[in-house]
Amino acid sequence: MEMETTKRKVNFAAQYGRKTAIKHTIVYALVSVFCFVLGYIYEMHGHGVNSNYMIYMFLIPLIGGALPYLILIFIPKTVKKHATSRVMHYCAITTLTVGSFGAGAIEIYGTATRLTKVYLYVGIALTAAAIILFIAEQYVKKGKQ
Amino acid sequence: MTLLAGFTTYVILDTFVIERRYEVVVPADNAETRPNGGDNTAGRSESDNTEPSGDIVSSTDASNATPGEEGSSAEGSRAEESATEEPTTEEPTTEEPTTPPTIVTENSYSDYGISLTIDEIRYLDTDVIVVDIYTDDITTILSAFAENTYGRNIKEPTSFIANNNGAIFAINGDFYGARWSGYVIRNGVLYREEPVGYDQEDLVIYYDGTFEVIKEGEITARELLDKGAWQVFTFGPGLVVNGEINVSERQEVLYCLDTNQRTVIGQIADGHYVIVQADARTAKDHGLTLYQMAEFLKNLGVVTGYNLDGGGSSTIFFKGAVLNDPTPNGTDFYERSVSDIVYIKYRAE
Repeated sequence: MEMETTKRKVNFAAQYGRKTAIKHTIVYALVSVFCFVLGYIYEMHGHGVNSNYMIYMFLIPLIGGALPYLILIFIPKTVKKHATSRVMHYCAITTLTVGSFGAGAIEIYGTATRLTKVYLYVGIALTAAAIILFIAEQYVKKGKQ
Repeated sequence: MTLLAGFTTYVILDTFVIERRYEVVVPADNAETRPNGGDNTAGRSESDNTEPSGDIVSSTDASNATPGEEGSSAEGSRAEESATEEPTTEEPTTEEPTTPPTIVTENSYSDYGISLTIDEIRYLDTDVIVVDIYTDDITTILSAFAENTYGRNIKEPTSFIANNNGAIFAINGDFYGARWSGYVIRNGVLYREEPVGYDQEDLVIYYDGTFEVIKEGEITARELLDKGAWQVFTFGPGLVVNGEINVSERQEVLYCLDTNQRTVIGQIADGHYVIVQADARTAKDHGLTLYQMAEFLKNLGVVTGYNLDGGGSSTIFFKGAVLNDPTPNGTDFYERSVSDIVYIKYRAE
C-alpha cells in the first residue's frame, strides 16, 4: 500500500515536472521568436546599420531558456519542484536579453556606453545562482526523503 | 524586475540625455612647448565657457598665433610702446604692411592666411562636394565643441557651432562625445588619452601641416602632443595612406550601411588640403562606400585621407548655410546635433 502511494506520488511528480518543462520550453521558444522578429524589424529600420547584439539576441532565450527545459522533459528520473531556481533562471534570461537589446540599440544608434556590461555580469551571476539553486533544490529534497 | 526597469531607464538617460562636462587631460597652461608658443584654451572647466579655439595667444609669437588673435596682440604691443614714448607733436609715418583683402564669393573664400574653393560634382549617382583648401598655416583649420564645452551628450547642429565660432566654413567632426574612449586633441590641447583599441586609426594633423594616420596602439596621446599634434580625430578608417587606398571593398565603419553619407578630410600636398562630403539615403543620392570614397580621394591626388563621422551627422556649412541635405533616414531632412566641428574662421582684413 505504501509502495503504491509512493509510486503514485512519483508518477504525479514526474507528470507535473514534465508538464512544467514542456510549458516553459514553449514559452521560451515563443520569446525567442519574438526576439528574432524584434531584432529583424529593428535592423530593417536601422538604415543598414547592423549589430550582432540585436541579430543574435534571440539565442539567449532559445539556448539559455528553452533548451534547459527541453532537456528536463526527457530526463527519466523525476525532477523535483524547483520554483526558486526557476525564478532566478527567468531573471537571468530577462536580464541578458534586455542587455543584448540595449547594447544593440545603442550600437545601431552609433554611440557607446560601458553600462551595458552590467547586464552581462548580473546575468551571468543570476545564471550561476539559478544553477546552484537548482542543484541544491534537487539534493535537499532527496535528502529529506 | 523593478530593479531591471530602473537600471535600464538610467542607462538610457545616461547614454542619450545626461550631459557630462569633463576636465581636460592636459590643460592649456601646460602648452609651453607647443610650436606656436602659446596655449590654445580649449580645456575649459565648467565655469568657463569661452570658445576652445585659440583665444589665448602669446604676444611674443604673433606669427604663429591662432587666427583672429594677431590683431589683438599687436594692438596690445602698440599700446604699450606708445605709453612709454615721449609725446611728440608729429608722429613719423610708417608704412604698414599690406594684407590681402578678404574675398568671399558664392563658392570661395580667401583671406590673408587661407583660401578655399567649393565644387559640387556628381559621382556614382551621388552629389559630392569637394572643398580645396590652401594654407601655409594649419592653425587656420580649427576645431570647436558644441556649447564650447568638452563632454558627453553635449551636442548642437554643425551650423549652430559654426555660427557661434564665427566660421565661414565648417564640417562635422568625429563625434567624440558618442564614445568613452579615443584620443581627443583639439587646437593643440589634449582632452582624452584613453585609446579605443590597438587597431583604432586616428588622423593626426601636426603643426607643420602634415597629416598622418596612426594606430592608437602604437603611440600614446601624450606622445602625439609632444610630437606637435594640432588636431587628432578618432573615427576612421584611414581611407588613403601614403597615396594608396587603405580600405578593402567590403570594409565598413563598424556595421554601417555600405553606401552612406560621408565626410572626409585629406591632404594632397604641403599646404593643400581637401574636404569631401557626399550625401546618401535618398532617391537622388545613392551614397558612397568607403572604398568608393577612397578611390575618389586617390583620383583627386590625396596622399592621406581620413573618414570622419558620416551618416546623419554629415554636414557641410559655408557662408551661413548648410550646403548638403543632412538626413538620418532619407525622408526627414534636418541637421543632426553633433559634439564637434572642424572649421575655418571668417577673418576680416
